[in-house]
Amino acid sequence: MNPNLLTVVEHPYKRRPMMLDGVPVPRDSGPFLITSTKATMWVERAFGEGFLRLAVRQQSVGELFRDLVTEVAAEGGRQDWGNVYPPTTDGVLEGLKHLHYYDLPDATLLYGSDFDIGAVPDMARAPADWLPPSWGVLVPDRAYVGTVYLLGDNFLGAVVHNPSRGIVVLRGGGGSDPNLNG
Amino acid sequence: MKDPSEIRQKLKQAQYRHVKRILRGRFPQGADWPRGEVDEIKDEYRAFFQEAPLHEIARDFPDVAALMWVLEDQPDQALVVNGTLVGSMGGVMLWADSGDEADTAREMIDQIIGDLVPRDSQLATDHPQKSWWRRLFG
Repeated sequence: MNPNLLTVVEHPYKRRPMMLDGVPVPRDSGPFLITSTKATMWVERAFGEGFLRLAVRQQSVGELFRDLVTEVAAEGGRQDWGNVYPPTTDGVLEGLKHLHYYDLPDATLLYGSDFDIGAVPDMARAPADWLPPSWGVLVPDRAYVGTVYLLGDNFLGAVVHNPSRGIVVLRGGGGSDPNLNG
Repeated sequence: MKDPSEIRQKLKQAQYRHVKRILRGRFPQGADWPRGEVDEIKDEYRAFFQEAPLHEIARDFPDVAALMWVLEDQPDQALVVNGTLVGSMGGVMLWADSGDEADTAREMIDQIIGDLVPRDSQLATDHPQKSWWRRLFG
């Protein structure tokens, strides 16, 4: 089972670029969460018919996924997207309802090492060691969620699309701050 | 790092997966699918993936568009498309839209710097002054 948050694409570059320019995205699937040179940033709209410019930076894929999920949860709370729930049976069921509302069946549950998997209905699932231990994420087909471009030596660029519809965060304790996890 | 042939293989798999999903959505499972209609749909999407611009493919098939994008022949990209580097000041890169505009910008900056530096101090140097951008990049 696929434990990745996003579609993973290896970039066969000739010379490692400092940024990825002209990355195609579904035009109406914003806001987009993209890699910046130091962290991540929100972009409301794509350029032109549907392109974005992503910064390339050095970070492990796991750390990136963790940062993205933490940021989607924070923004979901701020914007009332209704995509953040507690990591409980009710939380999972509400999260699945959220995805079904947007016609996104076939969700997969990605879960951290301390997530109580026994409380979850029978569904596709995969352990994701990059998540904060008590957190989970419900995601549909990763094509809907976004892409991470890998450029070797942990250099990468990424874009998340449809975060309000396509990523449900089952938020437990902790987050990006490793001191708060456990 | 994957080579382009491996990525082309992934692209074929992604396209196949999407077409299969579309066919499953149109025709009931367990029944015989009408061969003619199935081939027509397959041909339709094959043509779409070959001919449609990338942004249209990205609308419904962003993973396919992502793979096609990385396979496009990308020359060693300039940092800014169609941009010409004017120079760097305090670690900030300055760009112009064309070579001519970059030359104009350099002349302007040389002129400003020339106005700021006392003429006596320029004459006192043993070596002729290089323009600021030649000192940085020359």
